[in-house]
Amino acid sequence: MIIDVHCHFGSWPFAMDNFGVDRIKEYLDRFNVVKAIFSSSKAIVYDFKEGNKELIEFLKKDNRLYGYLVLNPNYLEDSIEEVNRYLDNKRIVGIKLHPAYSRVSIDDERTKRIIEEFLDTRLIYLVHTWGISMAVQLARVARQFPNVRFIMGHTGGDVWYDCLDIVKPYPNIYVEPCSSYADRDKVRVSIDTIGIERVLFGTDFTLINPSFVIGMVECSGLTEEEKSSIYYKNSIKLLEGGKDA
Amino acid sequence: MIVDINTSFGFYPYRKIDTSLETLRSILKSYHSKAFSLSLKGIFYDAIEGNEETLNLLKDEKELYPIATYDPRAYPKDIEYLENLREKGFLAIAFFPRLQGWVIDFAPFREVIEVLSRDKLPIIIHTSGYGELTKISSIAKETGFPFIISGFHYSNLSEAIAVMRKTENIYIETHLLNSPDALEYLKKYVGTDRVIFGSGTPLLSFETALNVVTESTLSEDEKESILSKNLEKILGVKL
Repeated sequence: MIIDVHCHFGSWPFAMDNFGVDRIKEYLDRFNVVKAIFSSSKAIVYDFKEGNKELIEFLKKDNRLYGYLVLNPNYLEDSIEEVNRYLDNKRIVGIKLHPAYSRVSIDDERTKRIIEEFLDTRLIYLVHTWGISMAVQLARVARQFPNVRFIMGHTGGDVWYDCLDIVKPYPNIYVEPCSSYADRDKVRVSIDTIGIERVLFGTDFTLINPSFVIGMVECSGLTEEEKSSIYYKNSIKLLEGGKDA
Repeated sequence: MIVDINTSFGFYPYRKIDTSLETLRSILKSYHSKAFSLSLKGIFYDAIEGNEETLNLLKDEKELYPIATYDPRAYPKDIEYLENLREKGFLAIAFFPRLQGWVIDFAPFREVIEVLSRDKLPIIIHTSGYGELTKISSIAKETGFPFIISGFHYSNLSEAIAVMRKTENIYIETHLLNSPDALEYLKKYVGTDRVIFGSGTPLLSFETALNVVTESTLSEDEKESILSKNLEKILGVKL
């Protein structure tokens, strides 16, 4: 059984088919994914409001589908409005921030203004991280907002090893390991560095094949109990602490 | 049978990880896999010293086949070593432009290719930048020997498809083919005859690379071809 905390729907500008809802459901069946949290690719790379609107429609298609609203802090007031518009939707569990696309860092004043606005909502923040500086920025924000839960997407990417040390002191930062490079030791070192309870399962599907991250978990020499913690138990705990769990 | 075209062993300097020959052997054994391999010394430090280490350590191995390497940044140092690689026992030669910071247009690399034209060993190139495969395809057309490209994933699969449709001796290695339908997509546009299994283990997860093939919707015959037979056809030998 799997809970995937990092999924997308929509088109990508790459050589791959667009995954409609039927094909996404087929993948969820194939990998026994019981719950998956999606954000809109359109919202990330282009128009966040248009993408979020499509996300809300998409989530109605299957009861395993949950969502992150994508926000673009370049449009601060619109971002706040966007959360207020969908906050009551029980399928929305969090906010996706992608500093590489919006070009607004996670510790920018505008981003922090958004976080402050929704401190009492218990929304989860999935933050794309790639590189040491993004990890440092995330750590800074996690220290400032100790009651807000952040998921560090990709665990900092190709420098994940150092990024784990950077976020280790902040119990409100969780990590998920997906990346184009399926490092053999990434899951094991993540567990050993920050503790298994903070390691989640995320794939970046539909961009990345779920087989990639499943292989990383399976090759890590984990017990069945450890694997189930990563595949779904840790996410259940995280979501239970979230809005309308 | 599984034959992995992309493995290595030795010391890894960029972070602490066990990449010893013993670990590689153990991983391959647990998946009943054979592999092509080379010493990391040849990539990071000195190609010839690494090549000699590869030959020495693999000489009694039945499941591991030696790959040579050369760093064009060192050209023309030791270039004569490349003149008779087949005779020395190597089955292929691998280049690492991404890791070593050079590009395919690098003049010393063209000189190296010329030296290799006598042996016509398969050439494995680990690269990923946009345009690099397009440049490799020109060299492949000129030389006619097999080029196996490692390093293609969702963002540059388009280049692989475009080049493979025009250049018959370009092959693609699988370890970074990470989009959900990458193999199905390759099948649709260029077929699966030129797709070669590689994992990047012990640095990367063998299980992940294997999953990409075994969990795909390709037929069992197509999976078997990718996992070993396509490579045997390139080499003209049964491994």
